[in-house]
Amino acid sequence: MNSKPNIPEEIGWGKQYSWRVSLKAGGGWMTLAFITDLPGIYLIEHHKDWPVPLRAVIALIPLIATLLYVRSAARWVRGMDELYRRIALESFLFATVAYLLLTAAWFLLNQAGVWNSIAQTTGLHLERMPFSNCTLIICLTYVFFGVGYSIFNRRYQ
Amino acid sequence: MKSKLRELRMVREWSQSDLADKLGVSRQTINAIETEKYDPSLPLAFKVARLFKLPIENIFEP
Repeated sequence: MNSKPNIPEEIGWGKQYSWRVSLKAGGGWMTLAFITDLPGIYLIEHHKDWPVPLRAVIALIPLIATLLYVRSAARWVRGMDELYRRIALESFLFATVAYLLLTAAWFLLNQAGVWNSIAQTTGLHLERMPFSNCTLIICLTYVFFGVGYSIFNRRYQ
Repeated sequence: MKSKLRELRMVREWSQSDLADKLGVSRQTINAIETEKYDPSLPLAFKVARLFKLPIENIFEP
């Protein structure tokens, strides 16, 4: 009898969700990235007199946590069986490309002056969207991963 | 790729989950191979052949 392979449903919302598995798959590092990201931005913006090395450490903590999250997630994907691994990798590729295309479109629309005109008419400042923010990167990639997973998973059912 | 996985499994009265457990893969993988939606990797094909004590070419057909 072989050991049970990792199943993506155990870290997604639904009946099979397990927080223990979620932690094993890097959920702890992801939480740390969320917790340190927004307060870090606040501290950097409001304490410009702090020493530069300290400000650099505060700025990079969420990125380090994100990196460790990716490392744990990659290990967890390695423990999947071959079909799930293929679906997960296809979904990761989809999520990464979707995120890059979204940011590219956002910058191009910004250059075209679309966000400016929207800001003038509605007061909505979309040009201030923080695409380098770890929380936004993780959330958007996670949403795109979910979309990709539901598309690619259906192909093999 | 065509396979005789379903017939071989039925003869032994194993469910897809039973076979998945024996091979260390998910039930969905077994289902995808049986319905020809997914071609197994060479290591998995060897595992299947070893489990059923048959040559690979007797189980899988390109």
